[in-house]
Amino acid sequence: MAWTTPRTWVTAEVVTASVFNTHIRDNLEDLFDRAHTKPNLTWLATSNEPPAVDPATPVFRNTHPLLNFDDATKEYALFSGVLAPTYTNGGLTVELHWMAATATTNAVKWDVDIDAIASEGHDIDRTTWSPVQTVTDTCASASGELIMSTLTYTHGAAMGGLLGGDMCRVRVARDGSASGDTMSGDAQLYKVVLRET
Amino acid sequence: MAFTTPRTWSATETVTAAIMNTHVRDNLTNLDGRTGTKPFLVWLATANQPPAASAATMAFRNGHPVLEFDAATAEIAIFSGVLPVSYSAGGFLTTVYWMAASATSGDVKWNVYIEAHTPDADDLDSDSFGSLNTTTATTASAAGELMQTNVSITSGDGLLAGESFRLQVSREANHAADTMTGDAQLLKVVFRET
Repeated sequence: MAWTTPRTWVTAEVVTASVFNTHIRDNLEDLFDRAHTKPNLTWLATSNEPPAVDPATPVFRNTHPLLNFDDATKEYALFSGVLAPTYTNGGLTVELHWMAATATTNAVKWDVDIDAIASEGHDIDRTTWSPVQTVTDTCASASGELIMSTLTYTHGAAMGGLLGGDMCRVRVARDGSASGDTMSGDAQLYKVVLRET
Repeated sequence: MAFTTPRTWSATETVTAAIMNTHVRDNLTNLDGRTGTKPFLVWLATANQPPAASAATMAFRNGHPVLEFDAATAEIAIFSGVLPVSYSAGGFLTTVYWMAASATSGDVKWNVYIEAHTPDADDLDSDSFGSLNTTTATTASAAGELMQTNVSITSGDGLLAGESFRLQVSREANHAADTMTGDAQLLKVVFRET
């Protein structure tokens, strides 16, 4: 609904339904839409909370901090945050900004799942990951150029039941042994974005 | 336009133009100015990703992490982020929060460069910062007092919503306009849509 500059009312004017709808109803709806600040979390490679087993390897490339994911062993990175309470059950989008260490052809299969950690009643000693979402994307035509791979989660069980205000972890893995993962050498994760769709 | 507590309307009252303008027009205009999801990124000094050469020096001042920029050599700090998808093609503004290590007079010339990372185009193996954006500001009257120096970004390197990017801050200490003695200490950097 587009915003209209609010009307300056004059004495004795005949107010029509059309005028009210444009200047009051539509403007209120526009403000309502814009008042929702959708959650938007960004993690750099340095934000990784590495798991005890098979962590991705932190490295630097032209001073950019990155996480190296092997092409044979499945390796993981974990990113932790709080989904802003402004989340309005619109589902989530995860974006992976990555590049190839050396390759200029073939694809990488990324697995991403979410651990929702409710504020109360959740035992942090156990982890309940959401169903894994996957995306397979071809690397850039030149090593060092970025690719942005996108995964979408519908609201509810697909994202582990995560709600606004809950803590969460996002686990990123490269499934290098999968048939769809054909790229040789490391994939290098640069940044991760989690936002409401 | 100030916000007025919305009117409680009563039966059979006569609604005047003045009432409509105060409680409808002016309140709507006020909300329009305050509503939005413009990108707003904040980096502390600890978020610096120092370059291999001419890096600003990490230090602490009364427990505050700061980056020190020399008075003779141009030194650099780099901050990395992703421009939120809520960016609506407005302008950009960078605010540098800084203080003098010891000086109480003189000016500091702050330079800001943006490096957009266009997918499958920009090669991160080499730096590709855009053109110069700069502001020269006088230090506070007492060392330790903060200055907020705005640098309007006229060259944003074509940065688009959802793209990865880096922001480089440097003190052009060897420029004639930079007259402050001693280090300039950077505390925080804000990057936002205007």
